[in-house]
Amino acid sequence: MLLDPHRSSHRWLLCAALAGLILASLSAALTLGSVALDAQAFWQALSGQGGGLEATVVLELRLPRALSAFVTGGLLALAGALMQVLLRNPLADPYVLGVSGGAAVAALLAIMAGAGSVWLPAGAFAGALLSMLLVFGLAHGRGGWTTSRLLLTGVVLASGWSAVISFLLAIGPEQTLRSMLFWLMGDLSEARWPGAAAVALIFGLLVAMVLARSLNLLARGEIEAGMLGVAVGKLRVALFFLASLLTATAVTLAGSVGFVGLVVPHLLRLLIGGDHRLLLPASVAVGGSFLVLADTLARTVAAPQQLPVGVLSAFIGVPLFLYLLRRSGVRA
Amino acid sequence: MSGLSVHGLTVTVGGLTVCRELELSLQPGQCWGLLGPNGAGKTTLLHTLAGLRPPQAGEIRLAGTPLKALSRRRRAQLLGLLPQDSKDPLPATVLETALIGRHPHLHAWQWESAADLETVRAILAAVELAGLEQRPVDTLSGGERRRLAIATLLAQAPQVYLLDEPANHLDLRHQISLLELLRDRALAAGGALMMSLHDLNLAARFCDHLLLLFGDGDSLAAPAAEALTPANLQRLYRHPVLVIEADGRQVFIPG
Repeated sequence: MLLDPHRSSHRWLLCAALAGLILASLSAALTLGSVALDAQAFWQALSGQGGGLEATVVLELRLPRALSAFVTGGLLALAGALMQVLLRNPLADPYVLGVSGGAAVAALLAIMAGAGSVWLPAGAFAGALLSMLLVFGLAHGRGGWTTSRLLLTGVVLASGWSAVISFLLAIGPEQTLRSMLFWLMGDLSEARWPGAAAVALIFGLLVAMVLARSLNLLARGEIEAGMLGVAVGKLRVALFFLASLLTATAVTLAGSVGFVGLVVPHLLRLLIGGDHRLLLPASVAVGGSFLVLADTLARTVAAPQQLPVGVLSAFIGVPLFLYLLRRSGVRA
Repeated sequence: MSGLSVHGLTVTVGGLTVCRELELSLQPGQCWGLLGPNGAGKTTLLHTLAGLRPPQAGEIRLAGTPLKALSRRRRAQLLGLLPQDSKDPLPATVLETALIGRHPHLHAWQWESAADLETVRAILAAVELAGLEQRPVDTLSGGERRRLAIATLLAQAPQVYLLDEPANHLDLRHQISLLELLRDRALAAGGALMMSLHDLNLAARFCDHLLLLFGDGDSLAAPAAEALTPANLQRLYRHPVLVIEADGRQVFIPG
């Protein structure tokens, strides 16, 4: 661990590093691409002085897409961090309870039906909510709400959804297959301004910050948390709904982008420790920046061909994560 | 009054009656031992006393107020539990883990103060974990983890300590030193303790009162000297127990 969370100088250093990361990733996303901009042209475009092609590219194409990527990554990383505490399992990710599966089924049906770009996100969000309520209702049976019961219910439901997804892909018409696959892999090429999702991210982070110290306790165990004054039952229900809603919002924005939600919080636990008062905002910043960079690569490495961002995030994330995990293992 | 008092308490779990109409009063300055065979419900009773599960009948009062009527925060300031086992699936350091004990003493947005850190570091030193503060918990040995759990409870600094097999995983020297530490700190602060134990010699050494759970709903609450008779122990464990005098102490060995 590199950081002492009880030294305010270290906390400010972390804030500065995260702000720097966000700025760097957004600058990269706004300047790189088929129309490459140098610093001067970039500032002119951003301040609206340059006019013409550059301004259009930066303000109407790249900026909304970069912000969408940031919000998606932030939502997924925050949801992942919350889900890992809820399930007390470092392997939990935002999709583990089947929320994305429900969203995917609804989204694929919408694509097959040729539904427009309004219905696709609306359908995905409805599917995510339906799946979330299904898990909650089934897991919240008479025997109470144990972690393993919740996890099993979610995992089984998720594999049910994935069977439906395979079925839909098998019977789907040829011409929609590509957009269905892109949706499943996570794609930001259709992204617009992430207004509502950004609000959801800010709201989610605020709520999560209120809960942060209680999360530190729940991470150590339900009995321990209960004895130290946490309303464990209520906290777990709140976590379930918050994490599911954040995931549903992210999935609606960009399809199911893998990897960010699992790896970013885990990686940060290794780097800055397990204090959720720092971990949660750091997850949003790093998850968001990570996806901005991945999406920038997704639209530049094979240009003019655009790759799904989910593929790129795994290409970068897997080796990075394995390296860090190995390094931390050696040190411990 | 302070301490923990219990009136007409009936606790059942999964068809087993742990205790029936139990009357009990843990007064400040007392150290109670909780003895019983495997599966008699010692943990269930401790969890009930801690307010983690509701009793079937009866009332539990903490510092004179019904347990249910206390806010969670207030209860956590007054009452602490050392769970039988702790699992640590998510990574955390020793210092972070011990610091969560300060939670009930902090306001919602407050960070742990320098004084909190000082307190917790001193406690970690007292349980002989100084120098391991930045170590990940999952690299500790079983006994070190047990000492960390005890440190977390000491950081909480409640009035009533409920300890579920505190001697688990501890070597002989640490069994004595940590039980002494717990008892001395609790009693010095005007508190009371109840600890479940399987070692009769530890019970005889540390406890002034004992609660025996016979496993059939019958129980016996009495001063230690009255409770620790061969007849009671034979009934408790369904195995004869020999009592020998050594060095001015009673020593209990299986017959």
